[in-house]
Amino acid sequence: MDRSALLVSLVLAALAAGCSSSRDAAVEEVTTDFRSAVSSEDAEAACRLLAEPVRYELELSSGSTCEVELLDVRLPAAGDIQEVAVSGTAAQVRYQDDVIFLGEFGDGWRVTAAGCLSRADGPYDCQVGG
Amino acid sequence: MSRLRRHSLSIVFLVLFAVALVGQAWAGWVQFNDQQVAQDLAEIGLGRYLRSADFAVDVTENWQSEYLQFLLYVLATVFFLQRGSPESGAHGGLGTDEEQKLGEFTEPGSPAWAKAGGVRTAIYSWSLTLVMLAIFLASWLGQSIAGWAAFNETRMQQLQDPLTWPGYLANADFWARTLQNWQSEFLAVGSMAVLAIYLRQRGSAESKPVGEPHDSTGASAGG
Repeated sequence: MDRSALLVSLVLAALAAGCSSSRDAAVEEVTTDFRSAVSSEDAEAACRLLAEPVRYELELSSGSTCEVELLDVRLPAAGDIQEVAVSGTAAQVRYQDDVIFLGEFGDGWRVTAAGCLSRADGPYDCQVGG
Repeated sequence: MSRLRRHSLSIVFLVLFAVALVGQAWAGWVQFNDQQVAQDLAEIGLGRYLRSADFAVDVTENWQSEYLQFLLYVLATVFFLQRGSPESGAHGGLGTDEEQKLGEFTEPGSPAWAKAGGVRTAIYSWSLTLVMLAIFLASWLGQSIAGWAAFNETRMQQLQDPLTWPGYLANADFWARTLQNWQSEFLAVGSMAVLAIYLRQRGSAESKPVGEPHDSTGASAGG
Protein backbone atom coordinates (compact mmCIF):
# COMPACT_ATOMS: atom_id res chain seq x y z
CA MET A 1 0.00 0.00 0.00
CA ASP A 2 1.50 3.37 -0.94
CA ARG A 3 1.54 6.35 1.43
CA SER A 4 -1.50 8.15 0.02
CA ALA A 5 -3.64 5.01 0.15
CA LEU A 6 -2.49 4.41 3.71
CA LEU A 7 -3.31 8.02 4.66
CA VAL A 8 -6.79 7.81 3.13
CA SER A 9 -7.37 4.50 4.91
CA LEU A 10 -6.32 5.99 8.24
CA VAL A 11 -8.59 9.03 7.76
CA LEU A 12 -11.53 6.81 6.76
CA ALA A 13 -10.83 4.45 9.63
CA ALA A 14 -10.74 7.40 12.05
CA LEU A 15 -14.04 8.74 10.70
CA ALA A 16 -15.59 5.28 10.84
CA ALA A 17 -14.29 4.82 14.37
CA GLY A 18 -15.77 8.13 15.49
CA CYS A 19 -19.17 7.36 13.97
CA SER A 20 -19.43 3.80 15.19
CA SER A 21 -17.79 3.85 18.62
CA SER A 22 -21.13 3.52 20.44
CA ARG A 23 -22.19 0.71 18.13
CA ASP A 24 -18.81 -0.99 18.70
CA ALA A 25 -19.39 -0.73 22.46
CA ALA A 26 -22.85 -2.31 22.18
CA VAL A 27 -21.45 -5.16 20.08
CA GLU A 28 -18.58 -5.67 22.54
CA GLU A 29 -20.99 -5.73 25.48
CA VAL A 30 -23.23 -8.42 23.97
CA THR A 31 -20.23 -10.51 22.91
CA THR A 32 -18.61 -10.24 26.33
CA ASP A 33 -21.88 -11.20 28.04
CA PHE A 34 -22.27 -14.15 25.70
CA ARG A 35 -18.69 -15.27 26.30
CA SER A 36 -19.13 -14.94 30.09
CA ALA A 37 -22.37 -16.92 30.02
CA VAL A 38 -20.67 -19.71 28.04
CA SER A 39 -17.68 -19.63 30.39
CA SER A 40 -19.86 -19.91 33.50
CA GLU A 41 -22.08 -22.51 31.80
CA ASP A 42 -25.10 -20.21 32.16
CA ALA A 43 -26.71 -21.65 29.03
CA GLU A 44 -30.00 -19.84 29.60
CA ALA A 45 -28.27 -16.44 29.45
CA ALA A 46 -26.16 -17.48 26.47
CA CYS A 47 -29.22 -18.71 24.57
CA ARG A 48 -30.98 -15.36 25.21
CA LEU A 49 -28.13 -13.64 23.37
CA LEU A 50 -28.42 -15.85 20.29
CA ALA A 51 -30.44 -14.53 17.35
CA GLU A 52 -33.89 -16.13 17.29
CA PRO A 53 -33.38 -17.97 13.95
CA VAL A 54 -30.05 -19.39 15.22
CA ARG A 55 -31.66 -20.60 18.45
CA TYR A 56 -34.52 -22.17 16.44
CA GLU A 57 -32.11 -23.89 14.04
CA LEU A 58 -30.02 -25.20 16.94
CA GLU A 59 -33.06 -26.78 18.58
CA LEU A 60 -34.43 -28.12 15.30
CA SER A 61 -31.19 -29.79 14.24
CA SER A 62 -30.46 -31.31 17.66
CA GLY A 63 -33.99 -32.20 18.70
CA SER A 64 -33.04 -30.81 22.10
CA THR A 65 -33.28 -27.45 23.87
CA CYS A 66 -30.93 -24.58 23.09
CA GLU A 67 -29.54 -24.72 26.63
CA VAL A 68 -28.63 -28.42 26.46
CA GLU A 69 -27.21 -28.21 22.96
CA LEU A 70 -25.14 -25.09 23.67
CA LEU A 71 -23.42 -26.78 26.62
CA ASP A 72 -22.73 -29.87 24.48
CA VAL A 73 -21.08 -27.79 21.75
CA ARG A 74 -18.44 -26.47 24.18
CA LEU A 75 -17.81 -23.10 22.54
CA PRO A 76 -14.48 -21.34 23.14
CA ALA A 77 -14.80 -18.95 26.09
CA ALA A 78 -11.25 -17.75 26.75
CA GLY A 79 -9.26 -14.80 25.47
CA ASP A 80 -9.68 -11.06 25.04
CA ILE A 81 -11.28 -9.21 22.15
CA GLN A 82 -8.68 -8.48 19.47
CA GLU A 83 -10.79 -6.52 16.99
CA VAL A 84 -14.38 -5.37 16.43
CA ALA A 85 -15.82 -4.59 12.99
CA VAL A 86 -19.33 -3.13 12.61
CA SER A 87 -21.02 -2.27 9.33
CA GLY A 88 -24.73 -1.55 9.11
CA THR A 89 -26.65 -4.40 10.74
CA ALA A 90 -23.71 -6.82 10.84
CA ALA A 91 -20.68 -7.16 13.09
CA GLN A 92 -17.67 -9.37 13.65
CA VAL A 93 -15.73 -9.76 16.90
CA ARG A 94 -12.32 -11.36 16.64
CA TYR A 95 -10.68 -13.26 19.52
CA GLN A 96 -7.24 -14.82 19.40
CA ASP A 97 -8.49 -18.28 18.48
CA ASP A 98 -12.00 -17.77 17.09
CA VAL A 99 -14.52 -15.29 15.78
CA ILE A 100 -18.12 -14.36 16.65
CA PHE A 101 -20.57 -12.80 14.17
CA LEU A 102 -23.56 -10.69 15.23
CA GLY A 103 -26.60 -9.11 13.64
CA GLU A 104 -28.68 -6.14 14.79
CA PHE A 105 -32.29 -7.06 15.59
CA GLY A 106 -35.24 -5.20 17.09
CA ASP A 107 -34.06 -6.07 20.61
CA GLY A 108 -30.41 -5.19 19.97
CA TRP A 109 -27.31 -7.03 18.80
CA ARG A 110 -27.57 -10.82 18.85
CA VAL A 111 -25.07 -13.59 18.05
CA THR A 112 -25.65 -15.08 14.59
CA ALA A 113 -22.62 -17.40 14.62
CA ALA A 114 -20.11 -18.41 17.30
CA GLY A 115 -17.00 -20.56 17.60
CA CYS A 116 -16.04 -19.65 14.03
CA LEU A 117 -12.73 -20.71 12.51
CA SER A 118 -11.27 -19.32 9.30
CA ARG A 119 -11.09 -21.46 6.19
CA ALA A 120 -8.67 -20.93 3.31
CA ASP A 121 -11.54 -20.18 0.91
CA GLY A 122 -15.13 -19.28 1.61
CA PRO A 123 -16.92 -18.30 4.81
CA TYR A 124 -15.93 -19.17 8.37
CA ASP A 125 -16.71 -22.62 9.71
CA CYS A 126 -18.84 -22.10 12.84
CA GLN A 127 -19.86 -24.40 15.70
CA VAL A 128 -23.13 -22.52 16.19
CA GLY A 129 -25.04 -20.67 13.47
CA GLY A 130 -23.97 -20.01 9.91
CA MET B 1 -42.86 35.32 -20.29
CA SER B 2 -43.31 34.39 -16.63
CA ARG B 3 -40.35 33.63 -14.32
CA LEU B 4 -41.61 30.05 -13.94
CA ARG B 5 -41.72 29.55 -17.71
CA ARG B 6 -38.24 31.04 -18.16
CA HIS B 7 -36.79 28.50 -15.73
CA SER B 8 -39.10 25.61 -16.55
CA LEU B 9 -36.35 23.31 -17.90
CA SER B 10 -34.38 23.28 -14.64
CA ILE B 11 -37.57 23.17 -12.53
CA VAL B 12 -38.93 20.16 -14.45
CA PHE B 13 -35.68 18.25 -13.98
CA LEU B 14 -35.46 19.19 -10.29
CA VAL B 15 -38.97 17.82 -9.73
CA LEU B 16 -38.22 14.67 -11.77
CA PHE B 17 -35.03 14.18 -9.71
CA ALA B 18 -36.94 14.49 -6.42
CA VAL B 19 -39.70 12.10 -7.51
CA ALA B 20 -37.21 9.54 -8.83
CA LEU B 21 -35.09 9.76 -5.64
CA VAL B 22 -38.16 9.18 -3.46
CA GLY B 23 -39.12 6.23 -5.66
CA GLN B 24 -35.61 4.82 -5.48
CA ALA B 25 -35.56 5.20 -1.68
CA TRP B 26 -38.87 3.36 -1.30
CA ALA B 27 -38.00 0.56 -3.75
CA GLY B 28 -34.48 0.19 -2.33
CA TRP B 29 -35.87 -0.03 1.22
CA VAL B 30 -38.33 -2.79 0.23
CA GLN B 31 -35.59 -4.66 -1.65
CA PHE B 32 -33.16 -4.35 1.30
CA ASN B 33 -35.73 -5.74 3.72
CA ASP B 34 -36.62 -8.58 1.33
CA GLN B 35 -32.97 -9.61 1.38
CA GLN B 36 -32.80 -9.30 5.17
CA VAL B 37 -35.87 -11.53 5.61
CA ALA B 38 -34.46 -14.08 3.14
CA GLN B 39 -31.36 -14.37 5.37
CA ASP B 40 -33.32 -14.55 8.65
CA LEU B 41 -32.10 -11.05 9.58
CA ALA B 42 -34.03 -8.08 10.95
CA GLU B 43 -35.89 -5.58 8.75
CA ILE B 44 -35.10 -1.88 9.21
CA GLY B 45 -37.27 1.25 9.07
CA LEU B 46 -37.26 3.69 6.16
CA GLY B 47 -35.39 6.35 8.18
CA ARG B 48 -32.62 3.91 9.01
CA TYR B 49 -32.45 2.81 5.37
CA LEU B 50 -32.04 6.42 4.22
CA ARG B 51 -28.95 6.66 6.47
CA SER B 52 -27.60 3.30 5.32
CA ALA B 53 -24.57 2.57 3.16
CA ASP B 54 -26.80 0.48 0.91
CA PHE B 55 -28.87 3.54 -0.09
CA ALA B 56 -25.83 5.82 -0.28
CA VAL B 57 -23.90 3.57 -2.65
CA ASP B 58 -26.88 3.15 -4.97
CA VAL B 59 -27.29 6.95 -5.16
CA THR B 60 -23.63 7.92 -5.52
CA GLU B 61 -22.71 5.26 -8.07
CA ASN B 62 -25.24 6.79 -10.46
CA TRP B 63 -24.31 10.38 -9.62
CA GLN B 64 -20.62 9.84 -10.38
CA SER B 65 -21.32 8.24 -13.74
CA GLU B 66 -23.76 10.97 -14.82
CA TYR B 67 -21.33 13.75 -13.92
CA LEU B 68 -18.52 11.84 -15.64
CA GLN B 69 -20.72 11.55 -18.73
CA PHE B 70 -21.28 15.29 -19.02
CA LEU B 71 -17.71 16.07 -17.98
CA LEU B 72 -16.32 13.91 -20.77
CA TYR B 73 -18.83 15.25 -23.26
CA VAL B 74 -17.87 18.83 -22.46
CA LEU B 75 -14.15 17.98 -22.74
CA ALA B 76 -14.36 15.56 -25.68
CA THR B 77 -16.17 18.07 -27.86
CA VAL B 78 -13.19 20.43 -27.43
CA PHE B 79 -10.70 17.95 -28.85
CA PHE B 80 -12.69 15.50 -31.01
CA LEU B 81 -14.92 16.06 -34.02
CA GLN B 82 -17.97 14.29 -35.38
CA ARG B 83 -18.85 15.47 -38.86
CA GLY B 84 -22.53 16.29 -39.14
CA SER B 85 -23.20 16.35 -35.39
CA PRO B 86 -24.70 19.46 -33.79
CA GLU B 87 -22.81 18.49 -30.60
CA SER B 88 -19.42 18.76 -32.30
CA GLY B 89 -17.41 21.91 -32.95
CA ALA B 90 -16.73 22.53 -36.64
CA HIS B 91 -12.96 22.75 -36.21
CA GLY B 92 -12.18 21.60 -32.67
CA GLY B 93 -9.74 23.24 -30.26
CA LEU B 94 -10.13 25.93 -27.60
CA GLY B 95 -11.10 28.69 -30.05
CA THR B 96 -9.70 32.18 -30.53
CA ASP B 97 -10.28 35.09 -28.11
CA GLU B 98 -12.66 36.56 -30.68
CA GLU B 99 -14.71 33.35 -30.84
CA GLN B 100 -14.67 33.08 -27.05
CA LYS B 101 -15.40 36.80 -26.49
CA LEU B 102 -12.28 37.31 -24.37
CA GLY B 103 -9.68 40.09 -24.04
CA GLU B 104 -10.57 43.01 -26.33
CA PHE B 105 -13.63 41.08 -27.54
CA THR B 106 -15.49 41.01 -24.22
CA GLU B 107 -18.96 42.55 -24.18
CA PRO B 108 -20.61 44.79 -21.56
CA GLY B 109 -22.62 41.81 -20.35
CA SER B 110 -19.67 39.38 -20.24
CA PRO B 111 -19.12 37.68 -16.84
CA ALA B 112 -16.77 39.60 -14.51
CA TRP B 113 -14.15 36.82 -14.45
CA ALA B 114 -14.19 36.68 -18.28
CA LYS B 115 -13.31 40.40 -18.32
CA ALA B 116 -10.77 40.18 -15.47
CA GLY B 117 -7.98 38.53 -17.43
CA GLY B 118 -5.05 36.57 -15.97
CA VAL B 119 -5.61 33.63 -13.61
CA ARG B 120 -9.28 34.43 -13.00
CA THR B 121 -10.16 34.27 -16.69
CA ALA B 122 -8.05 31.11 -17.10
CA ILE B 123 -9.95 29.45 -14.24
CA TYR B 124 -13.31 30.71 -15.48
CA SER B 125 -12.52 29.38 -18.97
CA TRP B 126 -12.41 25.87 -17.47
CA SER B 127 -14.94 26.37 -14.67
CA LEU B 128 -17.62 24.08 -16.09
CA THR B 129 -15.15 21.23 -16.45
CA LEU B 130 -13.57 21.88 -13.04
CA VAL B 131 -16.88 21.88 -11.18
CA MET B 132 -18.16 18.80 -13.02
CA LEU B 133 -14.82 17.07 -12.27
CA ALA B 134 -15.06 17.98 -8.57
CA ILE B 135 -18.63 16.64 -8.31
CA PHE B 136 -17.65 13.48 -10.19
CA LEU B 137 -14.65 12.82 -7.93
CA ALA B 138 -16.64 13.54 -4.76
CA SER B 139 -19.44 11.22 -5.88
CA TRP B 140 -16.97 8.49 -6.84
CA LEU B 141 -15.21 8.78 -3.49
CA GLY B 142 -18.63 8.65 -1.80
CA GLN B 143 -19.49 5.54 -3.80
CA SER B 144 -16.23 3.87 -2.75
CA ILE B 145 -16.83 4.57 0.96
CA ALA B 146 -20.54 3.69 0.98
CA GLY B 147 -19.91 0.66 -1.24
CA TRP B 148 -17.16 -0.48 1.10
CA ALA B 149 -19.51 -0.30 4.12
CA ALA B 150 -22.40 -1.99 2.29
CA PHE B 151 -20.13 -4.72 0.93
CA ASN B 152 -18.67 -5.38 4.39
CA GLU B 153 -22.17 -5.64 5.87
CA THR B 154 -23.00 -8.34 3.32
CA ARG B 155 -19.68 -10.12 3.86
CA MET B 156 -20.15 -10.31 7.63
CA GLN B 157 -23.74 -11.50 7.18
CA GLN B 158 -22.25 -14.28 5.05
CA LEU B 159 -19.62 -15.08 7.74
CA GLN B 160 -16.67 -13.61 5.86
CA ASP B 161 -13.99 -11.12 6.96
CA PRO B 162 -14.63 -7.44 6.16
CA LEU B 163 -12.24 -5.74 3.70
CA THR B 164 -10.08 -2.64 4.17
CA TRP B 165 -10.93 0.38 1.98
CA PRO B 166 -7.95 -0.20 -0.37
CA GLY B 167 -8.98 -3.86 -0.46
CA TYR B 168 -12.48 -2.82 -1.54
CA LEU B 169 -11.05 -0.55 -4.28
CA ALA B 170 -9.35 -3.62 -5.73
CA ASN B 171 -12.49 -5.75 -5.36
CA ALA B 172 -14.72 -6.69 -8.30
CA ASP B 173 -17.81 -5.23 -6.54
CA PHE B 174 -16.41 -1.67 -6.76
CA TRP B 175 -15.49 -2.01 -10.42
CA ALA B 176 -18.68 -3.84 -11.39
CA ARG B 177 -20.75 -1.00 -9.87
CA THR B 178 -18.54 1.61 -11.55
CA LEU B 179 -18.18 0.12 -15.02
CA GLN B 180 -21.79 -1.00 -15.42
CA ASN B 181 -22.71 2.69 -15.17
CA TRP B 182 -19.85 3.99 -17.29
CA GLN B 183 -20.53 1.70 -20.25
CA SER B 184 -24.15 2.83 -20.50
CA GLU B 185 -23.19 6.51 -20.28
CA PHE B 186 -20.53 6.18 -22.98
CA LEU B 187 -22.99 4.34 -25.24
CA ALA B 188 -25.68 6.98 -24.73
CA VAL B 189 -23.32 9.88 -25.47
CA GLY B 190 -21.74 8.19 -28.50
CA SER B 191 -25.07 7.19 -29.99
CA MET B 192 -26.47 10.69 -29.40
CA ALA B 193 -23.52 12.20 -31.29
CA VAL B 194 -24.16 9.88 -34.24
CA LEU B 195 -27.99 9.82 -34.26
CA ALA B 196 -28.10 13.62 -34.19
CA ILE B 197 -26.33 13.64 -37.58
CA TYR B 198 -29.30 12.02 -39.32
CA LEU B 199 -32.29 12.49 -37.02
CA ARG B 200 -34.02 15.66 -35.85
CA GLN B 201 -36.23 16.93 -33.03
CA ARG B 202 -37.99 20.03 -34.14
CA GLY B 203 -37.54 22.83 -31.60
CA SER B 204 -34.81 21.14 -29.52
CA ALA B 205 -31.48 22.88 -28.89
CA GLU B 206 -29.91 19.42 -28.94
CA SER B 207 -30.92 18.91 -32.59
CA LYS B 208 -30.08 20.58 -35.86
CA PRO B 209 -32.99 22.36 -37.55
CA VAL B 210 -35.16 19.81 -39.35
CA GLY B 211 -34.10 21.03 -42.77
CA GLU B 212 -30.37 21.31 -41.99
CA PRO B 213 -28.19 19.08 -44.23
CA HIS B 214 -26.73 15.90 -42.66
CA ASP B 215 -23.13 17.04 -43.26
CA SER B 216 -23.63 20.37 -41.48
CA THR B 217 -21.44 20.27 -38.37
CA GLY B 218 -21.21 22.35 -35.20
CA ALA B 219 -23.21 24.21 -32.61
CA SER B 220 -24.03 26.94 -35.13
CA ALA B 221 -26.07 24.29 -36.96
CA GLY B 222 -28.23 23.89 -33.83
CA GLY B 223 -31.84 25.02 -33.93
